[in-house]
Amino acid sequence: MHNGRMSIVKRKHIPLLMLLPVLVYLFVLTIVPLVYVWVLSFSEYDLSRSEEMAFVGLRNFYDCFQDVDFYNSLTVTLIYVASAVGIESVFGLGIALLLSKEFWGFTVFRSLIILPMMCTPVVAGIVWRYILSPEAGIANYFLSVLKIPPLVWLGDPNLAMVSVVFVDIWQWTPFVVMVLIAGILSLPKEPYEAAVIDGASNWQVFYYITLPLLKNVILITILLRVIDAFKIFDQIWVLTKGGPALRTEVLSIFIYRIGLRFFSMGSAAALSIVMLFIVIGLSQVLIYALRPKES
Amino acid sequence: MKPRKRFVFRAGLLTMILMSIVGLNAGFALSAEKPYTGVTIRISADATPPTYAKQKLVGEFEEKTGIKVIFDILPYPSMLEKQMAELVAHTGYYDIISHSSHLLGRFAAGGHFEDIQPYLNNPELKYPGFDIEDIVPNLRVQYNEWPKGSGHYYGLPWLADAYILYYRKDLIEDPVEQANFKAKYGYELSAPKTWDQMRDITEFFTRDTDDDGLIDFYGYTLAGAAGNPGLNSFLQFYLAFGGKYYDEEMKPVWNSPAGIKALEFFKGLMKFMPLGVTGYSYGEVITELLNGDTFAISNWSQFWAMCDDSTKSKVVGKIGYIPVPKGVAEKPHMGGWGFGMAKDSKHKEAAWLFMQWVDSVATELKTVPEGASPTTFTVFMDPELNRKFPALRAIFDSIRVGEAHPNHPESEESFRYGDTAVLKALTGILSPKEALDEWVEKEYKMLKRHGYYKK
Repeated sequence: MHNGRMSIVKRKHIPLLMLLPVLVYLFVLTIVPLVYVWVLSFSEYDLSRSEEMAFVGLRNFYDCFQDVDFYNSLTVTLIYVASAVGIESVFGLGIALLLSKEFWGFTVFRSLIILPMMCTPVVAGIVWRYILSPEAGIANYFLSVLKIPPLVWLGDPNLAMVSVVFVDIWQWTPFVVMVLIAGILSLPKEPYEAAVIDGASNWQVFYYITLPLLKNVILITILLRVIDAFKIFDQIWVLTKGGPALRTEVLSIFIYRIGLRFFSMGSAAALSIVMLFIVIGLSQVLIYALRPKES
Repeated sequence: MKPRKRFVFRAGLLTMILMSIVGLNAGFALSAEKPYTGVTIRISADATPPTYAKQKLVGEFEEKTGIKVIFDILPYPSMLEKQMAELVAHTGYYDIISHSSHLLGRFAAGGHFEDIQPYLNNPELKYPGFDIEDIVPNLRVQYNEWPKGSGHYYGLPWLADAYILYYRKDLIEDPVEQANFKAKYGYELSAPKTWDQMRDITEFFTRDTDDDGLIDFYGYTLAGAAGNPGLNSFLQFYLAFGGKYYDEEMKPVWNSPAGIKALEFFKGLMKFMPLGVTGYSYGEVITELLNGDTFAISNWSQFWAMCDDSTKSKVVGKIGYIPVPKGVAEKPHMGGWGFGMAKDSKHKEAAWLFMQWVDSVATELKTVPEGASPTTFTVFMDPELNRKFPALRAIFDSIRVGEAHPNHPESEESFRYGDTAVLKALTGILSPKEALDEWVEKEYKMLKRHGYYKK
């Protein structure tokens, strides 16, 4: 009797026991820091001074919304995310459609196209810094061959954003391509056969069959890319350090400066929370679009 | 007093007298006893050639003192973060902190550095060959004194650095260039002493050397990238044009007539510079010189050793070095590095000995050839070194009278506004005056928020 009850208790606890390491891990590395960030965001805390944290209520949030540079960074980030992810999605879909066909050497192409993605963002940044160098870079060399005057890719306030977006597109379009190829290859064959019998054109097949069937995969890819692009730091830091004149200073660079250069941890925490809410908001829009229509 | 107690008292007194005599005469005794044997000190420094030059020699110090030295070398941004994290947590992990001159206020005001006066006053802790009087006084003022004028020094300078002018000596000495220059400008071509001369010379040397219709050799190259290079380049003009950082109430005055004139002058020189200097950092500027693509650059003096390194330079033996030109003032813009003694260090005496060893003449004589600029008059004036490394004289003339960045605790925030303003003016987003007005307004607000103008 006694033993039987024990075993029931044990059996009840086994799932919990097995989950425990993950729960502890999550608690220590996610929940605790998150709570701490919230506490920090309501405090004034200069990391370079050995002073106690002082509770300042919503002042950090107030300061953040008063700061014109915050709005600049927010705008820069939104432009960056929208243009990079937008172009990556269109290019990615096109390339995925091409590479989902089986042709001579298609596996080689599929392998080659993921190369940029394998490159560490910092390394990609350094390489592109050389390529885009106005004097010695190969980009301006090609322009000179075409008799186009050289461009100041990273130092011109109107071009710097185009350049950093371009590097992002180079690096992350392959990700979109890979996910979409997987999506395309898993589509059912029957609708296509039916369409061919009905005499649909290639465009009609794409627009009325492929695109609707692939919609969820596309949306998930966009969702992942939006979240990722929103947090961009390393690549831009290497390329422009947020310059010239803050034209490429995305939110994460702005927060980095305030937190780890100016050591105003309270303000940095408040800004991080604002950024977190913006990312959650954007993701919710995409997740809403993903929900099944029937429900 | 009982006889036994009297004996102890007298013996103690005698020991103290003897010790002070020995101390006064010999300083820290490099005897066989090595009182610090077994002590380990840790130094936080950034990954640059001068750091490695000192690290390479450290065996000498270890052997003489028995103190083990660990260099914790990290790239600049990571170094700063690690330093701050250790200091704030009071771990005592670092004994010596290498810091850029502009960060002194942040460390000292944060209570992380120790005033070195008691150590300096203690004759027993004097390292043989170290002489505080031999260190160029302006270096101590610019790198270690906080607040300026207070007489409190938080460490020692260890790497002198300033913006200097690197120029093509061979071109200045070319008789054809000299004749052409005189015909065009009406005076002799020589290494520029004033900014007006510099303007003419940069214009003169900006040219198309292969007749393809495109400029391929530039009169002048300056770093203009975001993240402080643009600001540093501006400061060399600002100080020469008579600019001051703050007024008596610590209000920023960058938009003074000197500031506007300096920024306009900088912008005016851009047409003699390579395209895209607004994206150039110091490395790209020195590369331009080493590739033989520019007549002159202003850059940190710490790059001098590269110019005559044939593996890196196409212009070996062709470079001359002088302080940056004068305007109404002779005040070169300085940077540079100090060693601060960490307040939480558990081995302050050992740390102090190490700092003195670094600045002693014998050590500096060995590290200068590795590219580490010295701090002492003796080494700066050494005839042999001056013959081999002509940059030394330019560095000395600059650091003797120059002025380093503002070094108050909020300096990094001030720089951010400055950097943005300079770039806005150079790229034409705002006029120089508008940009400087914006800088002053933002910095004033920031300083006010940090409690600067409370009466």
